Amino acid sequence: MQSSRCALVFAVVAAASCAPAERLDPAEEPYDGPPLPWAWEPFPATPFPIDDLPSPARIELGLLLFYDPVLSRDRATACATCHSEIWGMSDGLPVSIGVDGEGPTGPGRTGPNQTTRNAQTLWNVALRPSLFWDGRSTSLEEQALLPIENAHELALDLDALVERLQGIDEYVRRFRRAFPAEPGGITTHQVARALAAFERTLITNRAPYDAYVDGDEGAITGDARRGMWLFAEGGCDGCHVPPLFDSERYAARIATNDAGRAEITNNPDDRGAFRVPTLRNLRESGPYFHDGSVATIEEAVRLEARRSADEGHGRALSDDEVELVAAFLHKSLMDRSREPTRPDHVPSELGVPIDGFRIPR
Amino acid sequence: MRRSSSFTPLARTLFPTLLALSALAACGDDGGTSTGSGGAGGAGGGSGGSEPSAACEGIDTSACAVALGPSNDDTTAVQTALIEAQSGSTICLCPGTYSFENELSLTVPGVTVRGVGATRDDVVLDFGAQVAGDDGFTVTADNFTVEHLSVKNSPGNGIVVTGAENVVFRNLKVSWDAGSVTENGAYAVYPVKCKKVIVEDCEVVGAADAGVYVGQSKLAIVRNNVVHGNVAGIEFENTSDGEAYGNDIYDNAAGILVFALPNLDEKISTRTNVHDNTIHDNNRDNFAEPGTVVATVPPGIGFLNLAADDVEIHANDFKGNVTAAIAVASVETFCVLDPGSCGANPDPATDPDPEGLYVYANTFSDNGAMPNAPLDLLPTRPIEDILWDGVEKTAGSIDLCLSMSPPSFRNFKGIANIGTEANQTTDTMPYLCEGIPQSPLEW
Repeated sequence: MQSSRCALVFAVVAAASCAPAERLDPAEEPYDGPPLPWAWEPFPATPFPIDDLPSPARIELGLLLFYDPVLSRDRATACATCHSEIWGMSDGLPVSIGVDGEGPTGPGRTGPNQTTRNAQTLWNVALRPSLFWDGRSTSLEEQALLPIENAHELALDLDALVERLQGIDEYVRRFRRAFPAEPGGITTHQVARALAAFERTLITNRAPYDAYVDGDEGAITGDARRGMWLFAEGGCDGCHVPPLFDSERYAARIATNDAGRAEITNNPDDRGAFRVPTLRNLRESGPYFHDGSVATIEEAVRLEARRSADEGHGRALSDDEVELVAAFLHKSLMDRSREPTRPDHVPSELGVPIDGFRIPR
Repeated sequence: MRRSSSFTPLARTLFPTLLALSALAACGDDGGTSTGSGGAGGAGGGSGGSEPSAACEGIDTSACAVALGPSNDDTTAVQTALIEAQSGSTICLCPGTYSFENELSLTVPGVTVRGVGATRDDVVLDFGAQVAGDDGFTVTADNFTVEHLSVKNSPGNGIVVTGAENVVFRNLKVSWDAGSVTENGAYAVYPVKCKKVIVEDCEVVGAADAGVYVGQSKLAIVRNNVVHGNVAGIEFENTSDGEAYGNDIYDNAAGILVFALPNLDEKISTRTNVHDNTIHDNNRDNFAEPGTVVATVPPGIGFLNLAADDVEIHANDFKGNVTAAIAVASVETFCVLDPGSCGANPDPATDPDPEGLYVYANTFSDNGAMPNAPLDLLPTRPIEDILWDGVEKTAGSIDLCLSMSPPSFRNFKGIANIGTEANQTTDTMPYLCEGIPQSPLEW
């Protein structure tokens, strides 16, 4: 199933040292790392659409747009308000709070515009064939514009956004540099591509799990090591498939009035089903599930293990075993090495949204 | 807490990301952590053993997997070494000052980060230029040791280790050039949700909350440190099996805090043994960020137990702490002083009272002479050596044991009675007892 992820893989000049001709087909490359409780799959390459190859100018523009509240009706809310690097590229809230909200990102933020679902992490979002909890979008470029227009999120008409951006000299310059082949002013498609280019940098393939499969057996030891095997015994890897620990499956796991996937498919069997989220960098992005109803990783594992056993996948886990699985998730899947750098200033000169200081991080 | 700074580092931090990503796109089949190294390490240089830094000249680095010296891009060089570290390896930092613009992070277990100068002062990790991240150095990996170096000027916390087992902080100096000011990071040495932690032979100065803060952990030893100029010197919070001994704790707003606070993941604080410390002149103004829990602690306190159970205090020397040598309080009292922090959101899973306190064989001199608010409302001077707010669920449930030769003692019977001597008691008779010392930690 991984192969569909990399339909379009482009080598960029900087990677001259490994020419495409030298590539081994992952399927033919034998795995010679330490033991794993599942079949090894390589970390997938990041696919780039042909019209959105990354350039430093485009990525930097995307980062500035991501943190710039000029994208919101109230000029105070940004993408980063609900997808903050402090909160695992999510926001620490059960469900997000969009424009006209009060208080910094994190628990305690309040406001009239509550969304209906938990903000999903953006880590490894470039590697997901479908987006949103219900899978309603299939490309980052398509997805990026939807929250801007959504009345409960950034609530800004896209034409108004373009007009605002055209009025800011620095953006005009930066868009020209990011899209040199497209004279004629800023377009919403450019905004979408810049945001997507930035989002494609949010890759986590330097976690201890990655070091481990790369041959560093000591990278996962003790409780976490036992937790990795219990993760498999509990059947967790059936949906949270390594190495991304997610999959394109939709699962109804907790009681909800939310139609979920059925909103898109109109199939009653999909009622209450949501896309399986990644477990990488999970520690930072609680609370969990589509409605943010589960506060801790331990509680989430306990709930999932019970559910899986009821459905006949894997076996039930004891409380001690749940702790070990949680240790694996806490320790072995964390990689913040490509965490974005929050700018101090954005071209609109509006204030970059403030983030709640988190203790403990 | 965000810092003002120039915008220039952005391009520098983004470009390696892009290079790494491009390399990933080209050779996505190798699937390992080394994928991004060519790009990420490219800008910094100085990493890897092949080109030893001039700073390492004459130093035995045979135990080091990597020996780095200062470079023109320390952030990239050191972070790359942390990303590429193999478990069980040692990253050595040769003498000099390293300047960081980003938070450093380590996720690989079994790594030792060691300064290899003649003293810890020879290797300085300076986070004063930091523009990204909350903390100086964050670690989420087991079997981690950091030793023989200095960390300074982190805008957030100094060294934060989260969720790890077997953690050693040894012979470190953590400080801020600005001295003891509110803008400093909250915690200097900060293990949280850890198991088996040792903090030893460190000097910690200037933290705007607690210098050595052990949070939500199990089994923690804090020994032989010098801790001064912080709001709180040493704090155990919602931690079980903590031990602090041989520390010199002075000139903080409060010396040692043992807290069980509501609304944290870990609910229990039990078995803390504080002995053989010198706890003197902790009279600095409380410079904590207003609104934080620690900002409500009156300055001049040697030891404060807030709601923690089974605390033993013996063989310490309490001297010159102007408010009180030892104060014991319930979270209820704290909530009166700081309703914002807990009044609106009581946590039924946290027990608000400090049960099981055993105090014996300490020495007390010149404490309680000039208590700070709100304890200045107490009717007598000096304040007794042990001050208790008297809040307990039922008479005797606090189980206070003051030994057969008790120090002076006052129960002020609730914050409402604080100024009314007639309602208070200094009678130690009910608390005369021979307690059972805690058994040594089972490591």
